[in-house]
Amino acid sequence: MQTVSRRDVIRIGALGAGTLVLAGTGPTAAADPDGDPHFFLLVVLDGGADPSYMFDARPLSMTQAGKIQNYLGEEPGVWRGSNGVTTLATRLVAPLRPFGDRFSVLNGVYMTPSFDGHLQNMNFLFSGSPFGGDSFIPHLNSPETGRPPGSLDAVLPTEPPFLNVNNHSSVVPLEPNALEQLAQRLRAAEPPRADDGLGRFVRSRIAAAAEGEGRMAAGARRMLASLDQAPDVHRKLAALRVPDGDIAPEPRAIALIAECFRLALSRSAIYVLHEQFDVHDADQAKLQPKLFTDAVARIAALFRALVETPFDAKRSMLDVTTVMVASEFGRTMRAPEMPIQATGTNHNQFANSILLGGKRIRTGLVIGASDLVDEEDAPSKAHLAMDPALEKVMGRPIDCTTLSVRPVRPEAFDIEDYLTIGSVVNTLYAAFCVPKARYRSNGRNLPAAPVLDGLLA
Amino acid sequence: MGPGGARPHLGANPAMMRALLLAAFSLLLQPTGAMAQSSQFKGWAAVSRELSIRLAPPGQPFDLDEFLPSRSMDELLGTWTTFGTEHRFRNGTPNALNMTIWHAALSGFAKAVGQSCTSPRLMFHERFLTTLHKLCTWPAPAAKDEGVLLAFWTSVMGYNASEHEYAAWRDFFLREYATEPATETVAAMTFAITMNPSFLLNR
Repeated sequence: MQTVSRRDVIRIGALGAGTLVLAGTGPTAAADPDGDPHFFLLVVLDGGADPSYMFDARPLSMTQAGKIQNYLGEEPGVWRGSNGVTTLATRLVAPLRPFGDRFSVLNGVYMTPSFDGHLQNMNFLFSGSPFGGDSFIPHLNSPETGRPPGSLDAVLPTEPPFLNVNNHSSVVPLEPNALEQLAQRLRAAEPPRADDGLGRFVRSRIAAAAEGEGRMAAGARRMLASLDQAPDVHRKLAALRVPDGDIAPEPRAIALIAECFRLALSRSAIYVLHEQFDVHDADQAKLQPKLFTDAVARIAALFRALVETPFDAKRSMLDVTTVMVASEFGRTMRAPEMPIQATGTNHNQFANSILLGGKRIRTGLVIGASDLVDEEDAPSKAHLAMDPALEKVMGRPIDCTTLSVRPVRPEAFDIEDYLTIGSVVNTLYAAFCVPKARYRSNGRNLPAAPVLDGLLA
Repeated sequence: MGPGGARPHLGANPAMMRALLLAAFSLLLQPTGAMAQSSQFKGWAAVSRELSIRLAPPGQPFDLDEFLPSRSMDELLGTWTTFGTEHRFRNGTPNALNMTIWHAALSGFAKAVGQSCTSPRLMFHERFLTTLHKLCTWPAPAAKDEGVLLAFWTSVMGYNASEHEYAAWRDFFLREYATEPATETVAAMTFAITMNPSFLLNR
């Protein structure tokens, strides 16, 4: 894991400043003429990260009672939110302490109630359906928000997460090393033209194929819309300055993302940590202290780079970007039929942890909680109905208006009692002024999942 | 994917399971916009293979990567990826970026075919070379012969497009490039075929 050196910071700052003078592409004007630029960064912990190693830890006594694995072997400490709510956190989150007032912690977040597969829950995070569909990312870039859309909905400066989210929209991987050569080549090439005979003919044949019904026509319509945007993307990519390869990966990615945001090339970015958190096997699970040490260091490096990278002369990247750190789900406390000192963990979609920070987000809070807080804690009947083997912790009922955990033990499961990913996404929608018609509901025939108004700044 | 992979949650009671499965099945039946079907790009590997089979000497496929504007960009044009038991086609949906890359890559390929009229840049198989040599006499009347034009179209496009599409292409070049030089015309002809949805999209 590389750290950010002072030299890196100066270089990134200089890179940002250099962009300010690119002819005809003034960053503020290009990004958002209304002077209120707003972007989104999603940091993905791929494979289902165990919240008990970060901000939803359990006391060691629970491990001693054989309830939950803990390969750190240390008593967690208290993480106190500015709203007075506390949660237990391991020492592994220490690198995030300096940024503790830059994000809020959401615990006990419900993913899909009915499936526990990676793909289904990652689909659910992005699209609200376990079977996939349109991601919420393009909605943040829609003209409906009142902002001029970026040319692309999102860029991925790392390997894409385990799903084809980028197949649903203009969410595209942009690996920095490949991008450098692309920008050079596009500088030397002519953008697609629609004002010459050949360009018009090519366009007319795509338009002809786009008429009518069917898969081919739908694909041709996408081709046509993409071809119309291609000259703009070509020019912006050609203007892109790819940060030096000797900068640490996280600040380099943020520098590249800043370039994309300044040029209005994209509204969002998705950064996937390369640690794999899917630790079914005991040997894998034992590596979690190292996995989380590395991952937290990367997340801290991303926050530091967001703070230190200028978006323009007045604002940092964090000033203009809403940041979300999420995995597709959490993990079970242990695996059945494995000894507690040598157990892996499986998938738990009933209690995820999410960090939200940056623009329009009230930070420093702790919101929500999961149940089974110690070895004595008894589950509700609602919990038992969903998880009779008691393998999983589960989100506790919450009052989405006051953001406080409700001291109730429901007799029956009702999704509307809980903090859901639908509410988290709708809160993002509210922050980005996405029309309410887009809001997710928590299920069929249910109203829109409540926006967490208290989380909005 | 581990033991808790893609499967319905099994902890729920049977009545709940039935309800969940019914709900899931109902969702699958829904023709929502999110699930609407749309053709995707075939991908760089498939296009390279098709062009090699149609135009290159047997056993000597083209190395078309030189026409990509950057290394690794082939993945952005549509590619198969595997994770566990999942095998998925990714990045095939047309977007502004992959369209930009297709445009740049196919412009380069088309230019190379056009330049082959004067100095060979690519190795072609004998039959295509015969057609190309005739076409390279453009704007001479022999190059505008229906048989030559159809042979060139079929060689590059294959049989993926309608006759109407061929006629539109032929008429455009006979009209708009009637007096243009061969190198430019052959490049433009190649580009127009390879940028056609019938060539680039999977049916």
